[in-house]
Amino acid sequence: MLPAHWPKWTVILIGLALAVFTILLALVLEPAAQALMPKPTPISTPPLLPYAAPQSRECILCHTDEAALGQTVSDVEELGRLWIDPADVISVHGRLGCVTCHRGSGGTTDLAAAHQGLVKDPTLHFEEECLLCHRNLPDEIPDDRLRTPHSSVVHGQAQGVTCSDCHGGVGHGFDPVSGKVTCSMHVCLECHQARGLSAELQGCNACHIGPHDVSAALSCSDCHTSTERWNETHLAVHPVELVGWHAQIDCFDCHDWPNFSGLRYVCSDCHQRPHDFGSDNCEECHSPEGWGK
Amino acid sequence: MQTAWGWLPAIYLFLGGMGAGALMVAATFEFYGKRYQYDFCPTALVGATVSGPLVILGTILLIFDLGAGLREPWRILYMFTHFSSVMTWGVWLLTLFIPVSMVYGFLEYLDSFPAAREWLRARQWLGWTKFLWILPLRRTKRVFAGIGVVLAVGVAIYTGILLSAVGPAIPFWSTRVLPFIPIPMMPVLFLVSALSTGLGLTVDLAATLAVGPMEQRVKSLPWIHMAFIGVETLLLGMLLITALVDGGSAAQSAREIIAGSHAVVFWVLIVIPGFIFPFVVHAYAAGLGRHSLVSGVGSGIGIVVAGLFLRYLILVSGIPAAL
Repeated sequence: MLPAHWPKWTVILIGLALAVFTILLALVLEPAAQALMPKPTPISTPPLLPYAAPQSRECILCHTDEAALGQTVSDVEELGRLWIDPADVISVHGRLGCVTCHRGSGGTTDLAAAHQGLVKDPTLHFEEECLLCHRNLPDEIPDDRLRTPHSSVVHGQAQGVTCSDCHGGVGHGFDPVSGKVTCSMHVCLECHQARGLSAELQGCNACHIGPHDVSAALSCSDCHTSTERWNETHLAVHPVELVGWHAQIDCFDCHDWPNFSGLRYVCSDCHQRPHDFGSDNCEECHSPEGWGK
Repeated sequence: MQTAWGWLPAIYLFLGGMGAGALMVAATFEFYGKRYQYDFCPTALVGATVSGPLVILGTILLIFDLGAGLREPWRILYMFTHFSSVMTWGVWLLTLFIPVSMVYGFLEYLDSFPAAREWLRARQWLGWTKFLWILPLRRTKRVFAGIGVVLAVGVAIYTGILLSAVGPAIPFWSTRVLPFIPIPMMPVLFLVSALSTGLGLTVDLAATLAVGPMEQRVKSLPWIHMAFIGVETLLLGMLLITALVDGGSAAQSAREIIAGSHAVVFWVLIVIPGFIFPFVVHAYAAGLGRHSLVSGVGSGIGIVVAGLFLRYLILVSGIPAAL
């Protein structure tokens, strides 16, 4: 109770004072409460790529102009390497601008000044260049049935391997995502051979995850004849000679994907007999070249 | 976590809510006749007189927070005519509420202190107000209390609508009442919280200090208090559960509140002083018919402090939606 001699209107002031007191109390208590909480480990924020597309104008003007480039470069092979297709300038990496990855200075026509501090292969410094944008790289791409051991490269287990070894000049027209070009695998194979890894990892399995469960009996090249298209095959090991119509159809028209199960290699497994005469042994009358023969 | 809204918005949302809640409690005492049961009603007096100043202080802080409004105040005038914006609704509500609540508070003061009324009436320099003194005081006061309570509900709800309107960017702020009920929770929670803080200020604190145990004057008060605490607890629980069910950044906000970086604020500065302690005090008062001065005042301070921290917590735990 308030003292009896205090005027009754004091209670109004007390009400207002409580509001102010509450605010002041809260401002004191909140930092104290937060101090009691365990502090989360700060997550380091990687630096940003020094985006410099607008500073790359002179680079583009010169390197897309074969004639201008030819004034300073006489070697034809070198000229071809340094020339940039104008279409590549608007590719995903091209739009970053030359200076963003290659450094140097794009704001001058002076050859020496423009190339001062130039980084010829930015991927040699992939930690400071590529990884700033390309984080969380996968070790496998299941949809494409590919092994992509990026963590070995990023964490230094595959020393000497850089991004451009597989991904080429991504700023110069190399676009593996579009599917028009494929990544080179020779770096993987050469390294695996040099390190004497198992025979399995020195073949297709180094990069590809085979879908068929026949690896114990067969190697990929027993059937597949192309490294560009998987459906180019030569069935040298097929138990039945595939001639005529059978030579033109796909493996999985007859077999179950992916492990080739489901056939006993007789005609009636696939074909229905359209007539009552004769037996199930079709070959008594027909040949694989066609039912009329 | 969003970092744009911190203590300053929390304070003016709190002042707006508590001011509106205090007026609603005072008007309830006015219309239910409790105001006239005794010669002096501290709840009605404090509720009516502090609501205007609290909302004025909150509005000043709001204008200060607007930044552009402080540098170029005339731009605030543009906000009166943009009726599709919730900001305009708020500007109108505050513009109307402040004078109405100030007049209501002034009339309540004159009604509570006849000597002050006579003193003013005798001032010659106020002779031009002679026509006002012939108006029936209590009936006029009731008119302003009636208009004021409608506007107070609007102000209390508006503080929550403001947050819900930002909702698409901060999903936690636009969490629905329940996953299958498309009504935003914030306006409902802020309305109940406004009433709760208003009760805490005018009944638990002011009335306990002025006249002693209020529950002996109004027998149902402990039950009303407990009902409000129960409803507020239910709404807060529904908010957190719905946010967790919604997933994404809303769920992350809820997790930060319950057991994350804001857990101490939530449990120690909101749940214990604003829910558990007042509930125990009022359950005790309901059972035994009395509570001590300290527990009554403590309950009032706890409810009011928790009201401020509740708004602060809801603001700082907002996490922007993932793009």
